[in-house]
Amino acid sequence: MFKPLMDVITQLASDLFSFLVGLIIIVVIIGIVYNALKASAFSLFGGSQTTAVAILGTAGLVLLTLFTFLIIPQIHKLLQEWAPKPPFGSIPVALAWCSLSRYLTWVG
Amino acid sequence: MATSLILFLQEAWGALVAALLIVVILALLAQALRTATGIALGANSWTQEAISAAVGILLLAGFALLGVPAIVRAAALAMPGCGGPLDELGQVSAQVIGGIVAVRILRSAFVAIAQASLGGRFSISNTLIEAAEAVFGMLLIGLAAPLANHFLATAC
Repeated sequence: MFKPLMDVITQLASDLFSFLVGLIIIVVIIGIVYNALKASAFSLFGGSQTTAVAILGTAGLVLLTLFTFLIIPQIHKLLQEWAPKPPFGSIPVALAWCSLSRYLTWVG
Repeated sequence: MATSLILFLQEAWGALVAALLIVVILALLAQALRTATGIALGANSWTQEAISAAVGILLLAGFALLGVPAIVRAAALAMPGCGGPLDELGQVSAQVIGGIVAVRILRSAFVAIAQASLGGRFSISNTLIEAAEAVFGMLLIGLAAPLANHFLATAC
């Protein structure tokens, strides 16, 4: 019953995922260029602290990109492994309770 | 009738789990974008907020995928006993009630994750309150079958 709806949602999510990945790449490239400009400009004027911050920002952006594109697929795999089956319907709970009650009565 | 209802609830459960996984992954990606923007602009608080939101989303997802089935199984096992003329009805109603409770708790967890991914105020307490309400309602409804059994046994 939910399959057509889930197909549409999956298609939309796939498009959105590609869009977000593209946006992250653009932001990271612009950020690296901006930080490189900042570092070179302030090193020209002797601003060592700002230069260090800009270099660290560039390294942070690169690390964040690696983290995002390597870790998020692993998290997705982990969550898929965690995805639970419906915890109802398959186990005849009331039947199990009856059996337990009968067993306890018999033991008592 | 009861079988088709249980099948419907199982399909709803599967769809909710799939939607939850999609929302979690997209939310993590959105928080990564927010973090990258914060680092590029030098906005420290923005970066911190994005990282803590990503951690919160992961915790909520863990609760929804691991905690909710355990709560539902525990509540279903705590249903009152059966027997007597309403034995079969008690079994079927226990399964249907368990399904409704499971889907309801998972829906509230899904709403919490969606709120967190949109950057709004999110708390796990609303999910837990809904879970407690659902479990309490399940136990109250589960009392009906033994009471009816007792009434029928004394009336006949």
